[in-house]
Amino acid sequence: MRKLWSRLSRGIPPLVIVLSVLFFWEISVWIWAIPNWLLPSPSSIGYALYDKAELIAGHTIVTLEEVIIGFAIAVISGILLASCIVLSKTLERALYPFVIASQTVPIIVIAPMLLVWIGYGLTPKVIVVALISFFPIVVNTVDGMKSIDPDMERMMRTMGAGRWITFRKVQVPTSIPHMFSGFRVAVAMSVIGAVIGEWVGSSEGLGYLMIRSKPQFHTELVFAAIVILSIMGVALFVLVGVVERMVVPWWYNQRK
Amino acid sequence: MSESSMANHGDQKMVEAFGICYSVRIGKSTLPVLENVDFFAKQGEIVSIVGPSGCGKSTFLNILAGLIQPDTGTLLVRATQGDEVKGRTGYMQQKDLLLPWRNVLDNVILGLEVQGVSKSLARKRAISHLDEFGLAGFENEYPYALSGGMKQRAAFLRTILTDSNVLLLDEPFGALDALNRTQLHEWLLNLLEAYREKSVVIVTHDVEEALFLSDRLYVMSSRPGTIQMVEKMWLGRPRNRNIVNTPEFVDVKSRILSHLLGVGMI
Repeated sequence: MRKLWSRLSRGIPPLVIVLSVLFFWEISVWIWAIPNWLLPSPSSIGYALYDKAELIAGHTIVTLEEVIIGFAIAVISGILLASCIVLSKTLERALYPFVIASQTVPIIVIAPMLLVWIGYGLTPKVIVVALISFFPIVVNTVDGMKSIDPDMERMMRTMGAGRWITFRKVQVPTSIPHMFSGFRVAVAMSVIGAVIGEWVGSSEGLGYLMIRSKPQFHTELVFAAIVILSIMGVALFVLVGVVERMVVPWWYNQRK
Repeated sequence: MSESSMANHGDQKMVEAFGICYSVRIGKSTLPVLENVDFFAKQGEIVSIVGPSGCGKSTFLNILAGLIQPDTGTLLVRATQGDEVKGRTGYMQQKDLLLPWRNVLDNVILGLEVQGVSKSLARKRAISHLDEFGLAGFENEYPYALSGGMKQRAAFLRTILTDSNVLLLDEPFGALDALNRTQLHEWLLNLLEAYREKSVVIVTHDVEEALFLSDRLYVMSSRPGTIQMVEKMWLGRPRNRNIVNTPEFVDVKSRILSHLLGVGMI
């Protein structure tokens, strides 16, 4: 009971901040009579979320699908790429520059091109999500795999372990907590990726809802979509943390 | 090597090194680390190499372990039967190097796993040793839950299980407090009674530790490392901790210490 209370009480400070911001926002809109299309009040955003729940839910599922598929591709390709980079000096020299270069190309320029090349639909959005979120996964995984103790590596060699056995039995497990740091950054970025993908051309998803609602002066729907996107980002971030605790309990026990 | 000579513990030289030289290149200059080191360890013998920090004793151990190649000199390690040139040695360091995601049992079988022994068979072999290593009942614990002494014993069991007949221990008790260390010294000596087929080489900078544990002792000078003196101990095994207070022991210890200090090496 006391434990539950201490957990709940930790939520109080952020709750106070959120509520007071919403309060002053509501009051300001009311006092200065700001028109709804310019800045909707929190209550009207809340009402839109309730009133248009079905519409918003439909678009949310589309965006969530893009995020999850794109993120999954980023995880798999990121870990494979990191393994290649760690296992072979030649591959490291060959691949790493391109990994970094891929991040300097503005996504906002690539996204419309993907549309031209691939067309509408799920695929170009998934590619944008994967492109934007694989980078932190690769970098963190590579750093994690390289972080093994040189003494550990020496001991493995005296046991007769080759490169591959050391990689499998020591380097991969060592890198898992680092991988998860990458996943957490990536999952938050992947939500942005999905919106960018939808922004440049789509017929569904929360990004589409936003660009459609703005010229129609349904600004409250734009904000409602932002609220849902934030909740999605936070929820996915927390979910990654929960999975991490299940996969690497030793990492947390060790630091207690 | 014939079977009969193998059975004759104490005569067979398991490790032999002649005229080992080793240097490292730093920029354009070369820094000699080891110079003309002659060394041997017989079967069943515990041999210590004592010297100041940075004298190259760990480097020498790495050479015995096959981790680095000497510039010149001959090296013979008979770690496994019939393997005359370079066998797999059991190598243990100051750090326990236990894998934090494995429990004790799965940690100690790492060497067997690397050798291709199946996990279930390796576990079976390890379990029969847990008691003698004071780890019974802790096989399912993870390293973070163990005391320093236990971690070191687990690391030692992992080394023993590799089945190598040459054990190379690099400051194995260096990370422990004095009390723990004394306990482990006695424990190690008792334990090794059951493993008379093995040669043990211990590197340390603790003269008392070296004297108490070993049958023979090499004293090394600081860089470049050379063998300064070889001391043959008269202590039989098993030996009692109180021996360190006997006049003979104190005498030898002070002789070695003053030798090391006299040359300005510690």
